[in-house]
Amino acid sequence: MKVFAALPVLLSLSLGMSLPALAQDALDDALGGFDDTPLATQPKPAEPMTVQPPSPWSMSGSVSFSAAYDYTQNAPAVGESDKRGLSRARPKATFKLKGNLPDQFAVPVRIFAEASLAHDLVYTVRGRGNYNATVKNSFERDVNFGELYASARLTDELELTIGRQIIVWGTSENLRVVDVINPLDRRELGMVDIEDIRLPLAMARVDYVTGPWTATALAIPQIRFNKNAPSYSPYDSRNGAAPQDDLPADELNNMELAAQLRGNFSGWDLSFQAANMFDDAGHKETVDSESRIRHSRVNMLGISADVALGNWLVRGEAASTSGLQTQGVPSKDFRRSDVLAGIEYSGLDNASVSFEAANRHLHGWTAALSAEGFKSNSQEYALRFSGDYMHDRVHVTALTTRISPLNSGGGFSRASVEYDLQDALSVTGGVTIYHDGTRSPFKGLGDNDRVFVEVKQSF
Amino acid sequence: MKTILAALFAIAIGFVAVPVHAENLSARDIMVKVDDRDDGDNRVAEMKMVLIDKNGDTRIREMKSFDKDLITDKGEEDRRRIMFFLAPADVKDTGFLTYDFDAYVKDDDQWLFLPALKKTKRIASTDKSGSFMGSDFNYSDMTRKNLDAYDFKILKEVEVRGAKTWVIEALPKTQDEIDSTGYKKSVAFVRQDNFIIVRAVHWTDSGDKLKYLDVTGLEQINGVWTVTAMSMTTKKNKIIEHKTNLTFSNVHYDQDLNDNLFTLRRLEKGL
Repeated sequence: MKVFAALPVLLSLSLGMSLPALAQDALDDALGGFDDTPLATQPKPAEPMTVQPPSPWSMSGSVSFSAAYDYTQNAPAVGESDKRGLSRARPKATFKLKGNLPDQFAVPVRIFAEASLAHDLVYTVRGRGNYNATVKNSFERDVNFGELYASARLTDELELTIGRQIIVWGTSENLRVVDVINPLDRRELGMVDIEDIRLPLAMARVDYVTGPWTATALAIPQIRFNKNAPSYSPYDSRNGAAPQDDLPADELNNMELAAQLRGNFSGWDLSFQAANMFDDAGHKETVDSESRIRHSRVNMLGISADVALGNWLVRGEAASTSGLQTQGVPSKDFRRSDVLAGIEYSGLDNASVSFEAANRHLHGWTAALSAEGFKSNSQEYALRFSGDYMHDRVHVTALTTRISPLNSGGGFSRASVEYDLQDALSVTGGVTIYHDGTRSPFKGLGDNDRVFVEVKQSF
Repeated sequence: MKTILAALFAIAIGFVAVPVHAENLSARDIMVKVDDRDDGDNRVAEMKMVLIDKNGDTRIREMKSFDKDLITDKGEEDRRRIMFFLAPADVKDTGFLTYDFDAYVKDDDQWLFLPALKKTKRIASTDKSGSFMGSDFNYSDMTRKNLDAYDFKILKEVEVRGAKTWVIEALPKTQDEIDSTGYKKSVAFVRQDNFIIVRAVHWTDSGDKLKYLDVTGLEQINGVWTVTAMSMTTKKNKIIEHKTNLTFSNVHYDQDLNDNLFTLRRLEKGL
């Protein structure tokens, strides 16, 4: 390397130039790299103008085709579905409509609606007779009505929103502690489209903004719970008929209530949450010798915060949920305390990495609860990497999750690369690997590893 | 996308033409005047960014931005900005909210709303060397500089498109500043009649690349001289690797922008 370092000196001497002169030439050379197109200078008179009114009606959405291939399932036993090979061949269309009601309304009113329609061709390709009816009913034709609401700005500070909505609480990106309002689509863990994972609920929402604080109150008459893997589907670890799920009626007495106070400050955010709602996951009860899923009424009090420290973002959440019921100790209400800590580093070149861990402590735990999978303390972990490369043309995401015990509880890992072929047209490929575990929901899922691809055109 | 743009308009909008006498100004004096210029207030603007790769393929991003200055009790001028993507369709309605503090010791507050997740997240990043939305601009190009972190020197005076400029070298004093901006050296061309940086060359700390900022459009809007078009070209060994053209339209100052526009609730509601 010293030879190369000395080269400019030797060259300059041989050419009779001084080093400063050489440096000056290099600088002039660098500064001469501009194009000399004329400057567009057009002095304009000041024009009276007001801020554009809110955007007019607009339609957007996407059409996509996604496919997945399971490369680890074993050959089926007699009477079981063959879950090997192609597991998805799904065209899908998504539509979003957004706009504002005409000015003659007393207050500005925003309308938002979204819906998606998907038809999985894999059942036709592989033979519809090879699949259980519950699986086909759940996946083959998926009509999903998303958010549909009207939002009225009553004053600069006060807003009322009525309709189907999705509410996201907390600071965590991967684990849920205070983010409890909307149920989840858990039919295909690790494979559900991110925009579809939360299921909207019909509700009335009021927001009041004052200074750095936003107070939100929710009244939710619609009772809706998680969508779990249907019986006999690849993600169903029961491998049999599911117990009947007793859904509370959508009536006034069952209305769920929730509230949040969120503050955003310089360098940190703080939120308090409270909810009186049904337990989404539910518990088993034996009714007339028949096992059923019942959902108890629970109260949740939560707090979440994040703090920015240079390139680091520290997250924390905690929640106390009371009124939980179990099959092992019937008629007794349990309380669970959840705590989450997370950290994200954004100092990498166009990339970030985050880690989150949560502990869930069940107060009053007894051995009688073991059969249901309850533990006195259980942990969840998530590690995520995301990066944008080639001038945001390539997006890389990797996520791995685990539940305790760390080496045997189970989890999944997912990695994907999205490439933008052109504006709004992308192709994504990736792999999801399931770590078979001793605990729900990963027990028995180890044979579901799959590669996937999606082509998506947004409009 | 890891950081929110802090002040794209810091280099693009609002440069008041001020007649000056150049004789007695040092390089630092000039840069102070560049930094202190009146850049208007309560701005609304639309931006179009064209990303051009070395093969000539283009991608387009369009945004709408609202800016408001707040004078603190200490007399500092903090800036709040909310910005929404209009195009391309796959990122439409993505929103950024930034509180850009005048005091350099205080990190910007930045939040990002992702419509697909329906979630707002705080962004923590003091490293501003990353690409701004895939463009050739990085975040440090778009934020106000801490002048105390640089040594300035007037190299010469040249004409740029018929206007006299000072050519000023800016050398970061610390490795931290180099790490933060991604530049080990910069040379700025400052117009002598209005203190607008009309050109700049940046030497990248990694990759041995040169980045050329070139102001190609300049208009007086609501009485404020405003850059309406500029480009940033990344070259290595004199060969263009990538280029970004940035244009501003519908720029208006002194609009009636309510403080509640610059809240997370509004970020989540979109335009």
